Amino acid sequence: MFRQRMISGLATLVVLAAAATACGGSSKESGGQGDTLTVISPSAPASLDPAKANVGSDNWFVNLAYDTVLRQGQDGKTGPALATKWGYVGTGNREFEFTLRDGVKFADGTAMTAQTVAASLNYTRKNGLNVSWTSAIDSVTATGPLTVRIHCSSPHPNVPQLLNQILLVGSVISPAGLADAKKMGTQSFGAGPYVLDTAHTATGDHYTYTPNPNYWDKTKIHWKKVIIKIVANPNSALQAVKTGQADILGITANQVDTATSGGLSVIRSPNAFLGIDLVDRDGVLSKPLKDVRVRQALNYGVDRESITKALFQQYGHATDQISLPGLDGFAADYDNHYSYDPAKAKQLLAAAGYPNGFALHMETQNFFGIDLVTQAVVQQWKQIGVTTTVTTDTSIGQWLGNATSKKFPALGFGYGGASTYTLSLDWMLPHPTAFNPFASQDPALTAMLATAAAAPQEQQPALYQNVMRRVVDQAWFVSVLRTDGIYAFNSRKLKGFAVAPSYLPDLAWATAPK
Amino acid sequence: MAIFRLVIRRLLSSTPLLFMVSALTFVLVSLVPGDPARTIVGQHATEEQYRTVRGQLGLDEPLPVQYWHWLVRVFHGDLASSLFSGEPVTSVLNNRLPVSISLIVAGTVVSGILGVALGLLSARRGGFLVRIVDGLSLIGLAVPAFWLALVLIAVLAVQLRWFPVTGYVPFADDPAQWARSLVLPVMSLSVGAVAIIAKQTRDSVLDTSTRDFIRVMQANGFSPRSILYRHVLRNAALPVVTVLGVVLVSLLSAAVFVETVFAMPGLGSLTQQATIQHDIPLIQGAVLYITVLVVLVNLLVDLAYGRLDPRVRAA
Repeated sequence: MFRQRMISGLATLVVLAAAATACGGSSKESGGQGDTLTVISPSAPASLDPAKANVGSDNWFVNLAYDTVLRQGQDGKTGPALATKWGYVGTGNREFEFTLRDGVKFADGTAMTAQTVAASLNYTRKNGLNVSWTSAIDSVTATGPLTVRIHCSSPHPNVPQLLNQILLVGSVISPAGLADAKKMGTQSFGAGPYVLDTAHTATGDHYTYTPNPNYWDKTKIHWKKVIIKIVANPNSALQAVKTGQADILGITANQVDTATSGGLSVIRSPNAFLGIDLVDRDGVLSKPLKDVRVRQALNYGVDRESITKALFQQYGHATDQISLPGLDGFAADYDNHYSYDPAKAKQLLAAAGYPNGFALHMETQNFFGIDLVTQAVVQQWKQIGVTTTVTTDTSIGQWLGNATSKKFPALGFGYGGASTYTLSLDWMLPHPTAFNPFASQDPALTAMLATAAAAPQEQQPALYQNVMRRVVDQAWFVSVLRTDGIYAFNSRKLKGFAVAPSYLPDLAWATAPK
Repeated sequence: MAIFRLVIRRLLSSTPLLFMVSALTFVLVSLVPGDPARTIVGQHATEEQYRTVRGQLGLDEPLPVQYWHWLVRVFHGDLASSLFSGEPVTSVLNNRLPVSISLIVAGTVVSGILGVALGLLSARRGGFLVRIVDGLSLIGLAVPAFWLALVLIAVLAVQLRWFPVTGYVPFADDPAQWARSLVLPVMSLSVGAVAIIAKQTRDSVLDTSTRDFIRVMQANGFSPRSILYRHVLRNAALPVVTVLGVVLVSLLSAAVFVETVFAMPGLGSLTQQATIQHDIPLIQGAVLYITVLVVLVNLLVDLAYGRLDPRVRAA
């Protein structure tokens, strides 16, 4: 009997080995062939519902199936998409109107009208997670068969940005999706170039998209199939692209050499800034932080250049501000406002009444290198007498809980580039958020923001740069560096794959076969 | 009939274990810092939205109440839904189960066959082969599966391009690609197990070979081949089967790393993701499935004992 079992076991092994050998000669994966685009994402989407998806990490999943009202180009300019005409009505940035493209249908064949679009925008602003971005909007109404008007209770200078494919709010959902919102977590209900093929999708593993037969511009459908594969291990993910199993992935600075040596093309662009948010500006938990001189001393006590070089090599850039080149609030003259000067830091601490420094307890996160930046800053603060104990969070939920708990006077941060209006909702206005948990207020800053929000578009950059100078002068944070978003891809197969500040590579429209 | 009674007895005696494991998991998950409702609502949500989601998910109730609600649903055959995707946990787990089963069964078969074959060879030939088996055992035990996985990817997938770096192909889609997608993960999982089984087989065979009844058979002129395969192996198989059971269970935990490295959509990688996200229903469901698998493996080992040893059957 045992002999029989051994023989049958060996036979199984032989079958396995034979099957493996038979396939071993073929190194071409489906992703390496012309008609399928295979992309790697390090994590599954939080939801496929555009209102509940994470902006940044989930955009690819949503953008393929949902067209937006407007479209941002790589140059940062807003262009047409589902809307062909758009603009503010009157002055003060409170009324915005757009006209829809005629004849557009959702993937299920339903006609897109001003009413369906208004219903979608109302669903998202009422149920979406990014409620602060839309909090100024108090109504979205159809004013004609193809015209939609957005009314804001206070000036909102970023409605065009809100409606593009980056911030997701303008992703138009069909009436069928809105009627059964729960299904939107796992199915697609859009008017994008592709639809989610649920039969060939396994949640958390891979997501398959096939062309939308009712799409309004078939020239934008470049692939017979787009697959987003979830690979959490960064080494395996890079090797999969190197061997042709997939075509695109996001990588870290220390993977660039491996990617280029494997024949992949690498593109990059500034996409986030990292540092320490000095949130207790009223000195509730840490009295020294109430004094602007102390907060400035903490800025002078950081050697940003050396930290950037050590942690991100050429893929980072030292900065004192929380904006990126190309964005409206970026003030080039304030990139090095607090040059490293420990002696000056000590003088400021002494003038504020802390000649021997002080102790600080802070929180940080172990994602995207935020904890590494925190540790480097903490070491340098020791030189000026500031001793810091750090609590490190290991999950998003833990971080959000701690950041909003008002138990930490300082928080390690990482934040993606955004327009200053959007940024101000999280960082600068006097309401509690994960980046301003104590709802700090600076009346001068609030007034500057109000003026900028209501100003004509062409005047906004100058006004927002002054906002940035103000907040850096007040040392509300110790920004340390900005990092690049880096992508590796197979340039022998692809064209149109590009990245820019506040712009994610566009899989749905721009990435095409060569 | 006796086997049927054994199966029923074993399954009934496992019920308290399922309770204990599920309760313990619930407590442990609740002790891990972080709040799934915070993760779901994200950084721009209002406090009101956060509280609403917390209430909708039942996370504002005391822990024993949350556990009781979960338990009641389980008794109705409903493992609840994932906090994040909203998909029924049973459906998510049923999609993932074949991957883990393929990986673990293939890993056990390969390590069982190679381990027994190596152990037998070493017991019969002795000398240099014994030292090789001992050396391999040490290496096999010392090398972590995830490290081996990375090396195998670098050499066999990236350099030689014999196998895919990541992914899993369902058997129903393409049996050959299914086997191909399993080769590297199974190799990563099996090396340590082969070493343990080979060593156990050799020691067990050598021990049985020196027993009196074997000597009597040798003295009576039975052929060495017949003695080895019909008597020595059968008697030596008991401890080997025990080790095989232990190996199979240990492969379940090693599969967490291997599935993650090879991006295989199995129970292990799912449990890891669910733990990071604090997706309590998914963690509970996955742990329940894994516990049932462990119970079934132990049951199979018991049945194998009965088959190999009449004394166990009689007991």
